Amino acid sequence: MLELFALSVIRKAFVASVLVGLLLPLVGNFALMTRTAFLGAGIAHIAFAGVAFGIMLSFSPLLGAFLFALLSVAFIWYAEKRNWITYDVGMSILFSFFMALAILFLGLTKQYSGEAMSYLFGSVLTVSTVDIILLFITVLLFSIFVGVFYKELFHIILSRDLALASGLPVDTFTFLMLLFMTISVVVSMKAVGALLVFGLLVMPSAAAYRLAFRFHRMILLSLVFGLISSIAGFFISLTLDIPSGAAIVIIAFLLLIISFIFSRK
Amino acid sequence: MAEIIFNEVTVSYGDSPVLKDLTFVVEKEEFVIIMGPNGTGKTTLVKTLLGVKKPDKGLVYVLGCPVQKVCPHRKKIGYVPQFQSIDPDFPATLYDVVLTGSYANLGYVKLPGKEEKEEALRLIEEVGLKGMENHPFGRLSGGQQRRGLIARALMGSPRILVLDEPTAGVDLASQNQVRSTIQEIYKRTRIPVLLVTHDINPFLSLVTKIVLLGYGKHFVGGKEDIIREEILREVYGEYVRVIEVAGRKYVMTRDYHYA
Repeated sequence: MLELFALSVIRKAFVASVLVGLLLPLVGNFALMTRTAFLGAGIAHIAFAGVAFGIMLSFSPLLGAFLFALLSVAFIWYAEKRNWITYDVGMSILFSFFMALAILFLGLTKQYSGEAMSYLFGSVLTVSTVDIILLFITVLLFSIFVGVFYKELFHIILSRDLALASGLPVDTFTFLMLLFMTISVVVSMKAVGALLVFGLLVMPSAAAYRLAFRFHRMILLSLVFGLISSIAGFFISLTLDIPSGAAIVIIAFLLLIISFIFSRK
Repeated sequence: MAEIIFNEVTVSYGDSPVLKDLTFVVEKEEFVIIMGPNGTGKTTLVKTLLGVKKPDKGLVYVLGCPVQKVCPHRKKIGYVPQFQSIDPDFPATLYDVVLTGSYANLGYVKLPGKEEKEEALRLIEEVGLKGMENHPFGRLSGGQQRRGLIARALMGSPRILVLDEPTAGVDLASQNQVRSTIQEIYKRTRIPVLLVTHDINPFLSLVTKIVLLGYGKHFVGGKEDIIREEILREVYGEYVRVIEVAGRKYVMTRDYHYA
């Protein structure tokens, strides 16, 4: 097994797994606590439409994914702020519409696209150096953001009313959280897949929620669960020759079940 | 200058004004009750005072500072919001929640230090919750949560205390504990208190001013001016009675069950 690490593709895949295992659970804590976790699933599917659009018009699928996902999330944030629509209803509509677009774009693309499938189902062995750099920058920026504004984020999670009354710019923080969630989902798609990214976003933090009595401990536990899921999933996928995204999410699910069994809540 | 000034304030949601040309002042050491039927703008008044809701017309000054402008007045208001249900498994202890009361004064980046942590523990003891610091906040009873939020509001020695229906939705014993906590704090600190409540009788001995909000009208005055049947009936209807027992006034609703 370890001799495989002589191959650069395996080393890259391992690093990508570790980074995704840190990034998605970290974002997931805030998504879970602000009840915006479903946005993660929606963003992944909207981004997939962007991938299909990029493939159809022969430009970077990742750029297409960013474009579609960021515009959609900015629209949903604004619409919710103006009381036009709630997050979950807005995302449900866009989720469905953009999946329809994705199917349309892929249908219009005359040739079979393996690249589209790698974004949909995830293949950690296909990640490039650019993907890893993007993942690393996102992990770094989001960790700094959480570290610097931990008490403000906790305040908003505890009570939006109290945070507003304290003079916090709650809308700005909400937007930044959604922005980080969007970027995190898009940069993780290639490793885990659009269909499975939601699992790693929610399950480690949901497991940590069952066990932790304080928010900072929930964050730390979710990172541990995320890392165990991604590293164990990576090695299992190599050993059994199964898709990495599926292996990672199955391990995350098992950890969630274990957390329910051992929960004192 | 008065601690709070509302000068001809109108606040609307869409085209519907909820507060219209409301004027009142709160002086030092005043205990003010904001009362009125549901939907007459009590919480809107609080939100306007906190600077969360912007008035369409009129001026609001808090501690000499217009709330429409950026000023540090919010750091000097201790605020207890209306009841919000919290998930029993929410990952925060009573201590964590009380400590958030120091955040506005700390500003960005800076974390609570020894002083804030000691203050949080002292206030938890003061509201009668000593020994429960590490209890999950969501697992506390409704009354304990309210007292915890009162402790939170007192962090950083506020100059004004604003409480939005602190006794709503809790059992009789807890209501009594919350009332006693508010009364004790007011008697000890003498900071101005703005209390939104339907539960006015226990506070009538402390009240210095009442803002009575009705649909499209309001009354402001001392308790002798407002706690009168003809005034209360203009807002609440014919069912309201004011009775006097041993020299103290009580507001009641007429009971037809045994008539």
